[in-house]
Amino acid sequence: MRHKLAAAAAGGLVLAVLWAAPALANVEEIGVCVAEELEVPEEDVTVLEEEGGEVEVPAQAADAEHLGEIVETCHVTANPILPAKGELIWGILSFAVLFFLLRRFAFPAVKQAMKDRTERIRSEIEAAEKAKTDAESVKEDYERRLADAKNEAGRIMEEARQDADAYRNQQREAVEAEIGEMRERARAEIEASKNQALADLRGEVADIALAAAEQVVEQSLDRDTNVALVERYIDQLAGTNGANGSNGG
Amino acid sequence: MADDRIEAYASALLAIARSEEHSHEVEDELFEFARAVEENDELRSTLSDKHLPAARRQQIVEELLGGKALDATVGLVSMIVAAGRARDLPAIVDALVSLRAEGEGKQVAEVRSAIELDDEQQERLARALSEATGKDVEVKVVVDPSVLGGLIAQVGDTVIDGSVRHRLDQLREKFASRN
Repeated sequence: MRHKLAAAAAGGLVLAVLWAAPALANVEEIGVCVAEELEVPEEDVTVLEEEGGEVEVPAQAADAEHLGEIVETCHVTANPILPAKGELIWGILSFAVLFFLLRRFAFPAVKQAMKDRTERIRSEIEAAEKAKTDAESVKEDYERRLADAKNEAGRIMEEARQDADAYRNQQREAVEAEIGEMRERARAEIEASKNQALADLRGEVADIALAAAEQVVEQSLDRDTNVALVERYIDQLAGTNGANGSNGG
Repeated sequence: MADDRIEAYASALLAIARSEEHSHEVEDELFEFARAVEENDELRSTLSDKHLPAARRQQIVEELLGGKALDATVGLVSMIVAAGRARDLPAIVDALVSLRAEGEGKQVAEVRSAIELDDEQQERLARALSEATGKDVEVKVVVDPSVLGGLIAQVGDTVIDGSVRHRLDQLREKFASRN
């Protein structure tokens, strides 16, 4: 990872230098090439208007006849990619220094930041996983409790139904028993009333008959009859020695 | 306590009656008056009424018995009534008769009859009762029209009932038992 970052940074820098260097250094290279072709010191070159930019040429050779050809030759021979050697060296040094500074100060911070971020993300993922697990556990617990509650509710309902059935049956049996008792009591009372009425009727009939009999007896029991009854009593008593209790007479 | 008091009154009356010349008649009169008090609620209540002065109660006794009973009998009854024991008079007289009979080695038989019994009938009845109970029985006759006919004899706890009333009661019970 670290190597890839370094390689990517270096490649970027090289491309930047390679793209920027020709634009800045091509004019100077052409000028130096022309001076070398004309064998004049670099300090004596001048700048000429050229198609696509300015071209530095030696001042005394500016009007030379074949200057155009020389410029064209130098223009053709100049490397469009590689910068001048000085630029390249400075660029490399600058890159090295920059890379060293970055590696020395920035990379650890970035690395630490990346590490922290990774750890944070990992911890967040773990927290999320844990939260998810907890949520699933809570969900399972909730579902289990819900199922238990449903089962409990069903059991309570069943028990209530059974209790209600038992109570209803008990009440029905009690009412039926009470009705039976009332019916039996009423039947017994009716029977007793009937028997009592019959007994009363028979008693009244007997009383009437006995009253009539008493009346007849009283009227028919004159003194002679009474004397005869007394005599019979005495005779029977005398004939029943040792008799105790009631005697028919 | 009540029995002791009745026994005490009976003993006292017996002692007084024995001192009289006609003690047997006095006893018979006392017995008859005791039965009358026993069977007549109004007479018993009047003679027992403590709101009436004792003199008034004694006057009633004299009005009832005067000229009909011996003076000794009237005096004894008057004494019991004045003592406020008219309600106990039947029990006192019964105890008196029993005490006297026991003293003579006899037992009293209370005989209820619808008619008067002559002496011959009473003697035969006493003999028959003596043979029946194995005791020397003395008969005391109480005329009770409710007997209708025949006799009821009670010797101690033994009752020998040969009355028409008993026959009618048996007939009534038979009717009731058939119900």
